[in-house]
Amino acid sequence: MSFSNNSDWPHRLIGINRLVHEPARFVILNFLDAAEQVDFIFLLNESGMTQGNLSSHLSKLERSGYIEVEKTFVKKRPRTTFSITNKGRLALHEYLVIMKNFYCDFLKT
Amino acid sequence: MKPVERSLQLRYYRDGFTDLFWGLFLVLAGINTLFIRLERERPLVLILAFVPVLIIYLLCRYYITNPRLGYVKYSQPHRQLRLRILMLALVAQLITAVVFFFSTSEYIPGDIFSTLINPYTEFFFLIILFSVIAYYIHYYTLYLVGWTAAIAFPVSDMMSSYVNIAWMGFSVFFFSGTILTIIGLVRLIQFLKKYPYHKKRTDYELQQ
Repeated sequence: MSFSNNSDWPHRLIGINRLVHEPARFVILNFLDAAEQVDFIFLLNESGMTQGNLSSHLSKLERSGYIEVEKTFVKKRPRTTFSITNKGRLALHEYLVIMKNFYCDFLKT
Repeated sequence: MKPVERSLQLRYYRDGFTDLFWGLFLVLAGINTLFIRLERERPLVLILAFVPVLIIYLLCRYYITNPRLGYVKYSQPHRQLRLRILMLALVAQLITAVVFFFSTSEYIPGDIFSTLINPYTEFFFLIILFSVIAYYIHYYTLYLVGWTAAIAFPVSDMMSSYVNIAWMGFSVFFFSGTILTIIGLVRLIQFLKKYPYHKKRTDYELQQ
């Protein structure tokens, strides 16, 4: 897929997956893609977001079926862990391919 | 390794406990070396001191580090890599034990043994071993640990005519171990400031 040779590149770029495109959610999905499972505290530390903001993004990803949420208790403390679904992984990788092609094509011209 | 994977890997060492552990290990190794070189009987507590250091290290990681950093279940390839590194370290320990056994026995003639096992081959063995492990687990301080442990052998041998090698070996270990301990303490203080202990109610809340 070449952006520079294709005249409808603005439409393809505008039609990009905005759920993944949002920086906070992109960061979350990348961490979940690299690890099998992470908990809320880990994402809170790594992303630097507030608890409410992080929960909001995770909720959107959960509703879209991109992540799975599992609630357990460890030493009487709640632990919520997250893992990426196949749908989420596919969406992330498709997004990365599109953006990589876009930047490579535009940097060449 | 992707930046995200590297970030996951490096989280192990942010707390400074690993640096503290290796720093204290080198200091204890230096003190042990001094007693051996001076041909003095080592107190039992000195020989066994490594055990409580290791236990305290593991407890600190479990009770202080993990609750602050959060939980991560690493991917299968990551876990396999770490297992291979552990196997490598265990094999190296086994080789060292076998060499030590043969050095104290008469199965191999002394002149052949001293040709194969001398300060310079020991230097390269330790350098290669620590460097390979440091490279794969991305714990770069281990390069310093490896060099410190290894350099003492040839330096002591070269300087044996000029200085007391007992104190030379001890000095190298003690100096590097002290620096590593200070680095560990600084990292620990930075870690405790940056990663507070979260309250019980800090958890995911489903947003509508």
